[in-house]
Amino acid sequence: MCSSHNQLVPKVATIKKITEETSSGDVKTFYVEFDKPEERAEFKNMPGQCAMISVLGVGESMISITSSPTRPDPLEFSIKKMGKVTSKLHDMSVGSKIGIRGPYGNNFPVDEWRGKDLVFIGGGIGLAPLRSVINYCIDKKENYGSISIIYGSRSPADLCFKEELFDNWPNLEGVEVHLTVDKVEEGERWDKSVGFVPQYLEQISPSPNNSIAITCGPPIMIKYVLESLEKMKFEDEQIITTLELKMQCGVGYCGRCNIGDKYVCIDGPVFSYKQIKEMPQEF
Amino acid sequence: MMTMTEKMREQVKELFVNNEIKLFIGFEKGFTKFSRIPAFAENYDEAKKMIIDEFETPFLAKYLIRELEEVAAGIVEKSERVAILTRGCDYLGIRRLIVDNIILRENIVIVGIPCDGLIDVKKANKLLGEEAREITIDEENVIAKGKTENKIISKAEVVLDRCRQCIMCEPKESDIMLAEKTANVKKNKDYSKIEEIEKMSAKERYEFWSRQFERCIRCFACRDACTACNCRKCIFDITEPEMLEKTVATSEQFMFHFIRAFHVAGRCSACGECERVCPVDIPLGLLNGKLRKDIEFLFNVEEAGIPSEIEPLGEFKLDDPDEW
Amino acid sequence: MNKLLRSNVSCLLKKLSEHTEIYASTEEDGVCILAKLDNYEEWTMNYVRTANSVKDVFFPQNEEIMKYKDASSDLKIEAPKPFKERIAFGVRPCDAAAMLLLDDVFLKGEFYDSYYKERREKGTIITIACEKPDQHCFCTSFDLSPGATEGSDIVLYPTEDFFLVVEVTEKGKKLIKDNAELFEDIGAKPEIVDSYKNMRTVLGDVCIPNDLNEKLKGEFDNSYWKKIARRCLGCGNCTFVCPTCHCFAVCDVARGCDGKRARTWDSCKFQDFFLMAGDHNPRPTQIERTRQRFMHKLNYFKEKYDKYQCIGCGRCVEKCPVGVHIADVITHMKEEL
Repeated sequence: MCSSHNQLVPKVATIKKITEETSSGDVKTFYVEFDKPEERAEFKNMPGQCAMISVLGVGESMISITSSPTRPDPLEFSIKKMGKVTSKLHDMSVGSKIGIRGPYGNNFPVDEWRGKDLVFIGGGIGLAPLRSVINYCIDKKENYGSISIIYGSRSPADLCFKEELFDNWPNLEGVEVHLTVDKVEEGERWDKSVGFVPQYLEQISPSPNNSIAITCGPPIMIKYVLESLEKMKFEDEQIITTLELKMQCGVGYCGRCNIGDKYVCIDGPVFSYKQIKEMPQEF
Repeated sequence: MMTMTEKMREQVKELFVNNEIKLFIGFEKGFTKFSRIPAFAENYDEAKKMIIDEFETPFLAKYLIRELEEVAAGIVEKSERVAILTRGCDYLGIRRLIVDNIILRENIVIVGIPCDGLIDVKKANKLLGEEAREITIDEENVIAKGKTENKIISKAEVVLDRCRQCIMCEPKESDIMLAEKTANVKKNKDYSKIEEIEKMSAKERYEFWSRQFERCIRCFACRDACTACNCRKCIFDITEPEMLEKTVATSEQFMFHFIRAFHVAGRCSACGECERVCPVDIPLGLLNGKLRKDIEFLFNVEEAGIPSEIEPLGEFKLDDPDEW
Repeated sequence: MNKLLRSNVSCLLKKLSEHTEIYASTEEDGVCILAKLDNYEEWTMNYVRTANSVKDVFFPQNEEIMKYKDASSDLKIEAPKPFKERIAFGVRPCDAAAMLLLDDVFLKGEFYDSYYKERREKGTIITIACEKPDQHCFCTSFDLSPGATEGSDIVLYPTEDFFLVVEVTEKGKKLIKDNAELFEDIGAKPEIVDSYKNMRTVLGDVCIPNDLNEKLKGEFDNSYWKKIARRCLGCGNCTFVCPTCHCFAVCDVARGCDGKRARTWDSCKFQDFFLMAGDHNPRPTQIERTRQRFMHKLNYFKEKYDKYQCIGCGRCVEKCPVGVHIADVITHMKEEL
């Protein structure tokens, strides 16, 4: 990784396309291109890594890169409207300029997963960081066993990446998609499962043999998914998740994302359940 | 005769035995020599290490906000009470919180201490010419023991600057008084340092305060320690809109200190805690003192900063001679 | 060894100032600080420790990271201009040693901090050994001493009327060579240096952490954190005056479509430090934040860099308004565990 330049100054990029992921409009995917091609060439991301997105005059936010490096351009970021920066981003339009620096953090250990069955368990916007690694593994499917995607959201309207969930992924060989929603409003069309992700996971009950479970979503979902996976006899080393804390520098100096001797921005965001159990429990 | 410390222990024991309080806030010896730090006791055993003497102590009243937070929010029973060691200055702070409707009088047991002024160890060290190894205090004098020689210093010489300005040497009312004693150190209102600054030209004055405020590291300790700063959410903690840029420019420093000074004007009781806690020794007492002095002059009050239901800046009169 | 007359110090500073910025210990309205000096007669030795540390010279409380222009249409981002050479004079040995800890954070990781790096490369630290450590000093707890040379380029050892000069780095050696007319070789005087190096601090002999980091591993839920946090006002002054604390905030200051991005020190003691968008706060009360500060210094940092993140300068001991300080924590925990 290139560390020879000033890490805190972002590169200029342009928003090329914006799509709304959910019907409530709280999640949008931004398709972004660097203004200078050589800066894109230096930006070598792996699935699971993040980037610092700047809205100049407002601030910066650490956002996971949603697109897989196997499909490099444009870079995609799916962003939920949460705080100051993401709200301002949501107000921006195609052609707007933003700043990007990165990529930061570790990535999913995709090389260690070779030959294994992969179970992705996501909830809500938590599918965003998983999407990059799902597409990465699909594009290199020859290296992996079966891929199961178990994903849920509050309602059918809140499901992100609908095109991939309904049209692309289920039609691929060796890829299964299992969807669930917390509840369905009257009159809403929904022929899949209704219920929370952890219970649905136990119902599907993927085998822990030669498998890796990767989970990402709201903290409360992750908590119960971890319990379910333990019940299903997944070992701690077989479970991978991501942590999210407030970050401002992204490169391990500013101190916000410190847990124990780890900094989530450089040592994370991807951790095995084993690593997480060894940390002080404050996240 | 019982010392105040012994009397305090006896009284606190009774309060806990009779189940009258859930917490007692007082002082204990700190880690460094001659330092006195806040101590919290939830039972009598924990209170045994507490002491009362004449070394400088932190101000305790502010802790009542946090300790009575749950009572104020109705999370725990309204009858829960906290006992607190209270000198005159602490009393003004407690009254401030009561008058401002932050805490209720019935939740507090005021354990009063009369006070002639506390001892400034730095002054004693300076007079001794080295860091004192032992300091003993009697009725009249302070005896500072150095490496080879001892120095007997009259108390008046080493009393804290803030205590010289004291406007209340014992709590006006209390639930328990630990000693009957009237102050024997004469306190005179001394605005001489403020007058010196008033005499400066506008430019000199600006330069003086710029120098002071440029040292400010914005730790907000002055605010955190002040009982008049009791807003539930301080405007300087609000991030949207950001009242104060996080960048530390001189203009922002002026803004912070002026807003704070004006916000506590008429409510500052000159306890001097802001100045004590400042890590870079900004003379905040001068700033607040100037406003106190002006209020006393403009509103013709004897003491600005005594908490009461009607206060100079908290009152409106129909026959007010000034326009809005 | 060289000697430098006290009366030559102003001369030296003045000469150095021709092509460098001088930060020296100076007295301002009765407070000793390390500040940019314009009048070189004004340096003083009348302090045990300056109110601010040498951290300010290399990692200032407030600095511009970049400027931007025209955020709306044709965004241009500019990094700041190169910094000037700088000399810090009158630094205490503990503060100089603290720079090595900041170096670990800012220079040794996967990414280095270019602002800090440039300032360090262009900076020289001239230290004055401590004649009279006070009751708050405990550098000897961390294998330092009132005469320690760690982190300094030159150390001046005060004697009655001159400084004995010890050059520690090549940079220091060069500075002396370039200004040779102000120095005078007086041969070896190791006894003076040794007397400083052998000096003990009273507190430092009481509070020695040894393997405290190992012991603290299981003490995340120790009730002591709650006990000391009850006193804490949450002012964060301990972290700001600390020469080893490095946490900061990044903030944008917009003026229309133009603006700048700056970083300023920030503190784990502040309630909004860990607060995330969506209002989740992993360390919501002063208890978690107090624990974070001490665990970071005495356990996490040691795990990561094999050093305690404290050099015993005594600022937090002196400055905490309510007596929450690291020497107390070390001593208490050693007794308890």
